[in-house]
Amino acid sequence: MSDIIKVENISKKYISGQVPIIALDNVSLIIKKGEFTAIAGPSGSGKTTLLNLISGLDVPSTGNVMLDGKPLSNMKGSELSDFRRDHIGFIFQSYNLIPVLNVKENIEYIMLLQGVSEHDRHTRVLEILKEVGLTDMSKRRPAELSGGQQQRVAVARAMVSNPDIILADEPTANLDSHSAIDLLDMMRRLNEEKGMTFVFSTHDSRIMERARRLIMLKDGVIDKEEIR
Amino acid sequence: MFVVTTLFSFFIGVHGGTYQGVIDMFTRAKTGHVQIHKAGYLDKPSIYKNINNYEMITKELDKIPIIESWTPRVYANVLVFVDTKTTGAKLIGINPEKEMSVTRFKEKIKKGSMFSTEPSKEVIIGAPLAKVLKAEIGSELIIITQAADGSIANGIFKIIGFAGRDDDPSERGSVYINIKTAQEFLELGNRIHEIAISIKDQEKSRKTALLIRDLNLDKTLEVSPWEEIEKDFYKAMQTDKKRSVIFFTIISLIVAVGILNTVLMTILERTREFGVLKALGTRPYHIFTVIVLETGILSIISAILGALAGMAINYYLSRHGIKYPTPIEFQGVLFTEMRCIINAESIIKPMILTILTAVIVSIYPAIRAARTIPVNALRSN
Repeated sequence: MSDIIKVENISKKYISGQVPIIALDNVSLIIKKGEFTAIAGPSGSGKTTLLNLISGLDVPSTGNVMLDGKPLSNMKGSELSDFRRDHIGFIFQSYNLIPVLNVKENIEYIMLLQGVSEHDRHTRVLEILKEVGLTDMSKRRPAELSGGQQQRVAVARAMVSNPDIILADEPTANLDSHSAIDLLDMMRRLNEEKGMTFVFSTHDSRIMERARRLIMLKDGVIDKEEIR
Repeated sequence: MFVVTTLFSFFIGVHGGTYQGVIDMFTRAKTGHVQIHKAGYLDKPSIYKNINNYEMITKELDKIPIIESWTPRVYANVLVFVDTKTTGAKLIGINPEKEMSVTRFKEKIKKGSMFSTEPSKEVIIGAPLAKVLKAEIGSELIIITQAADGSIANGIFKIIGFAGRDDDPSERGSVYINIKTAQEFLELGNRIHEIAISIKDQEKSRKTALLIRDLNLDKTLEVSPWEEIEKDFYKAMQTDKKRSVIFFTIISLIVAVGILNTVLMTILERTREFGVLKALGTRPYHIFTVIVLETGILSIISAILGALAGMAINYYLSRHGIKYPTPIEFQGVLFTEMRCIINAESIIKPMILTILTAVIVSIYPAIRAARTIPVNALRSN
């Protein structure tokens, strides 16, 4: 499998008040295409920061992130927006669906940005709704869905444009254990069937068990790594 | 934005209504909207500068649809006596019926009665003049002046009424008399000095004057709108209007700050949403466009609804008016209420102000939102 993400010696430092905080300290890792990777660790270990840097939402203090061979640090403004739109899918902890749009509109939003035709968008949305088990809910607004259903919509939105990688920041944190395991199983099925690369952060041990590769962070450095 | 447009529309309606009311007050008190005189009469009035064949002229005036009515007048400077008291005065010959169709002359008579439509030796004098002459209703008034044929005209008249109040300066020297009596007294024959005209739309006084000029009735006559006749009053009104531009500007600024505040608050509340949109790959330019468009569309809807609401309020108040706490008296005529007006200005101006202001002030919040840093926005609640 080819490398999709290459993280080279990245560090992230914040200044909180007068105190400098090192969120990540000289981290390097490689994620290969089709991997199902969990980044785990306690709160404050640097999981979200690492995902933000991988996605280009944040800029490292030092080091470099390469996504599919392209250095993110060289991209700015619209170029970076377009890159995120076409290559990265996001799943957020608190779903972050657009409240005024219904399920179908939320899912097709990225395709709309990409200029995909209405017919193709419609076909793709129906296809993806079937995959995430929400075929009958396309007209509902996020407020009319349960947390688990909202996160399924978020997964559908993240994968609708076939990105190179899907990054999920604690996707199960706001879900009950049953919904959390269901969601993880669905993500893993999509990973197996579609070959999509998933990287997600978690501190839930039951979720960690389902990852094929586990990267443990502690105090901003990789503490240990397991491949199952 | 809806409230702002409604209030602004109402404000323009009240403002325009006030001006219209003042003009109406002024023109209906005495001037009329347009006047016809012999050339040079307005600059230097003289008994000899008179209009011949006024019936022929007024026949033509009757054919102009915008003209509501007209009234002929005769003027002469006279010397008046009551017993041993004497003073200078202005004799004004009027046709009572026609005069009341142009001005509110009847309302001026505060004491006594109106003289008859037939020639008579009856006069109505200004209340301040009566005070000077110590005259009473029924007193005899002696009038002496030079007639149009050069002879000395003199006569004894009976005071049957007082016009205006004791402190009304416009009636300080007025002596009203039937026009036919005046023409006979002044040896004018059928000649008169002035035709005062009232029109259906007071905004069109200048246009009506031009229309009458274009009739080429008599080249020795001049036709003047009230704005030329009462230059000082008109200038004062124009100055006041300029002052109101400053007021409008201040209101516009308040509106702009209000809208800016609203848009900024909305953007601030949606910081997380914009962060998500940017994280998903929305270009900054798209976020900017969405905000400006959204504000623009909202402002258009608000402006239309606001203008409609403003129109409804102005329409109601143009029918029913706003009662003055204390009635205003002008040249002897009492004005009890002010009415709003509905015109293009009261509809278009507030709409343009709201839409333009909203779009312009949305630019700054839109830039701010476009520059949202996704990581920071996603951390916000």
